[in-house]
Amino acid sequence: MSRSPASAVTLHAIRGERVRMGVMTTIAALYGLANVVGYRQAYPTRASRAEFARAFSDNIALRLFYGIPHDLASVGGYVEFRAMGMIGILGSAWMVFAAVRALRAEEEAGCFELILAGAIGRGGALAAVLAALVLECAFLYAVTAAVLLASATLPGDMTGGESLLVAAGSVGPALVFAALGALASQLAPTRRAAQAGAGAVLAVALFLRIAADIGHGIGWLRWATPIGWDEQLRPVTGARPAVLLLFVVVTVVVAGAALAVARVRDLDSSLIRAHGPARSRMALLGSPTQAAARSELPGLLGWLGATGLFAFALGAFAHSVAEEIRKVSIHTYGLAIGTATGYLAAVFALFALVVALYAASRIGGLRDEESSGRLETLFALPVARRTWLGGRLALAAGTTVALSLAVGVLAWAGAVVTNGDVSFADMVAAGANCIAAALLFLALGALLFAWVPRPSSGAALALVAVSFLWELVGALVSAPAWLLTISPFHHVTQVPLVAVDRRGTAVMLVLAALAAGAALERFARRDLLAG
Amino acid sequence: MAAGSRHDDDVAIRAAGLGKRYGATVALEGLDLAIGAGEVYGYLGPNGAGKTTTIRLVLGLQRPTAGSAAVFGVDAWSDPVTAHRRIAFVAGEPMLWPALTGLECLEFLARLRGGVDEAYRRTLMRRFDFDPAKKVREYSKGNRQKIQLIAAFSARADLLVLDEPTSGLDPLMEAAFRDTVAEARTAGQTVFLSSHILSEVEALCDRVGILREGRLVEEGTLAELRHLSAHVVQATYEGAPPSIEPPDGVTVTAVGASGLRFDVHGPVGPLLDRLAGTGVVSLVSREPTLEEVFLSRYDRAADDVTVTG
Repeated sequence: MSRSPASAVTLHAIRGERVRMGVMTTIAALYGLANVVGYRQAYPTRASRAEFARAFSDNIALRLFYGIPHDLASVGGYVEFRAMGMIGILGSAWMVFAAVRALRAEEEAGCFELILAGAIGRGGALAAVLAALVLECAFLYAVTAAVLLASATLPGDMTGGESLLVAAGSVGPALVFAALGALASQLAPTRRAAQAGAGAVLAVALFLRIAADIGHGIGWLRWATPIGWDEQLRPVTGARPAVLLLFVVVTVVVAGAALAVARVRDLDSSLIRAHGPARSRMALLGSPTQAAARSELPGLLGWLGATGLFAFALGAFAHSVAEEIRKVSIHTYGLAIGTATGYLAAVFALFALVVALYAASRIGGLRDEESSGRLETLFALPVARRTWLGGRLALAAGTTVALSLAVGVLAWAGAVVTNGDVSFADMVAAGANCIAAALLFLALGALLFAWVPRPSSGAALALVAVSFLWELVGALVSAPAWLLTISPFHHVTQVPLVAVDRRGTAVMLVLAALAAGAALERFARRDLLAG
Repeated sequence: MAAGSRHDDDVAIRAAGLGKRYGATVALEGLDLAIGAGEVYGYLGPNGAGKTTTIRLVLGLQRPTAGSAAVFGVDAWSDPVTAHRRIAFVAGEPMLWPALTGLECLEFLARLRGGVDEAYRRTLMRRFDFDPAKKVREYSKGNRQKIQLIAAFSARADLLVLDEPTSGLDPLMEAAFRDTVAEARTAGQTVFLSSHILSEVEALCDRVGILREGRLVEEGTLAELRHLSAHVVQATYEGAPPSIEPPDGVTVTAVGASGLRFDVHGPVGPLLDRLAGTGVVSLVSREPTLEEVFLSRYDRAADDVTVTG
């Protein structure tokens, strides 16, 4: 019996995604498990749970990452707070990549042309890929649900229904972003542009959720994005299963829009594209690094615009939020953050993550040059491999530093316009404090690129994500002390409220230099791997 | 090979025992080449024979697992930058920067090379009928191939390494390409032309190497290769041809209803003696084409059986 063309396309797309699907599912499963088991171990008694809930319910730094906790005195409430939204965000990022890779990247590589030359239409092919993305999400759902059902089994943990609902909330945003990735693949002219477009929507969604949780009187913003809907779902603390309908309806609407565009556009074209003669500009063509600066500039401005705007907004909120905090509680983690400066110091943990993600995402650009075969064109010229990689890493390091400092300056500017009492030097220091960890991730990514080129662009980002999650759950699962300090994020202190971890920073910078040096040496000696 | 005694500058490409394995797969094995400066060398072989692997090793893009490759005496792997100052390369698949325009791309390649003959570049842009005012991503494959060709030839490099350079070009552009190679030859440049378009190699090359499954199975001037291959004698009769017992070293095949074709290894005399008095209406004798040489080398190596009578 022969398979239908549509199912062949679906299976092909799943096949191409199977490694990342395995990695993502493993991360989700381990993270879910760590939260259930870790919480039970760390807070075994009712008294310890109540004490924990009292101390952390108003913690602004925690709100930043997880949203607002509704019940920190039970396993279910804790998992809802800590695991669901976080897996939702990770899954969304994964689906943006998966959708763009299966659609725009395949089209860019000319593979979609072959598929469409078969007995399948433009809409049919897209629908088949969408089906693959839905099945991938279903797999993530099944594994997450199974892990929760299997681990949260003690009386008072979670009911089966609650576990299933938490799993659904963990996957809901991913579903919406799969559809958004598909739509971006129809609208944008290139893989990178599609990824940037859908990625920007995810970033804005995340920022809106954070703003809703730490801002004052703007809680309704949670309804604005799929990331926020997770918070509204509240599977364990007053379930609103109807929210799941939002995920489904919006996914269907966005997927429908993608299908509508796919049916009317030409292959290899897009709605957002300039045609016809282009003006040639001869500046910045003198070296591969200059040319890279040319092509990376729009991306950098995107990161700078999104992150900078958010930093400015947080700065502007700082004064009033700090006042709110002062009313409720003064101490979190034993630190006074009831001042604008203290509050901003706490939120810079988020920017440390963003800057690290920016640095790690540069590896994708390096790998692109190689996998497309352009490095062969380049290295057949009198261009040395060390010069090329060194130049690209220097460019990435320079823009990483610029991004970090810009975030500090913009947070300060935001605070100043609302009369927040925040010093310029403090905020620049807070920005600069993000640099060392990000540079380490950049250099480790370069090492991956030099040793295992094919998976390096995803692995570099995964390294950041895993390090960050480890910093979040490590203490909970009572890992040994040395293993806790292994995450670079462990050494990003809440500057200026807490002093810079000088030793940690120095170690990270030295490690970064060593890793970069090793990467250069290895890259100069290995075969180029196109494709 | 007597090339070992030549001075560095006289040998554009030298490979000695060059080999490359990818895990258990042998892509190239025991390759010895000495391509003299000013030579136009044709590198023939079916898909997957190891042509592109050879080029990647000569350019130092991959590290040999055996032997070495040198360009004008400079080791390709350990000092690629020095070697590349004298090389211009055209890849079979044009891999360029999609966001640059054609002109920007040419300028980028020229600056990275460190020099360009601008007047000649303008000539080539006209000759190849190339419109440089588009983004690379909007060009067809043929037009992207033109960018590579214009950049390579206008560099006036001592050695041109061309990997199936005319794939994607139409016949008019193919003719322009041949003219340009002829100019390069006149200017004393060395050309290493990997191809499986036999007519192209036959028209352009002084010397030819045939590669099969990672090994060089034949090398020589066209005349030498033809000499090694069977001479073709074709006899036409009125009506059905008679049955002829071919002499040693001659194979016979029927051509149509009234013709016989003899592939002759060695002297033609004994065959002519047998044909005398058999009522031949016409007799055509010619050298084998490169295609026949190529196919005979390929078939013979494929079955390791020589079909002679």
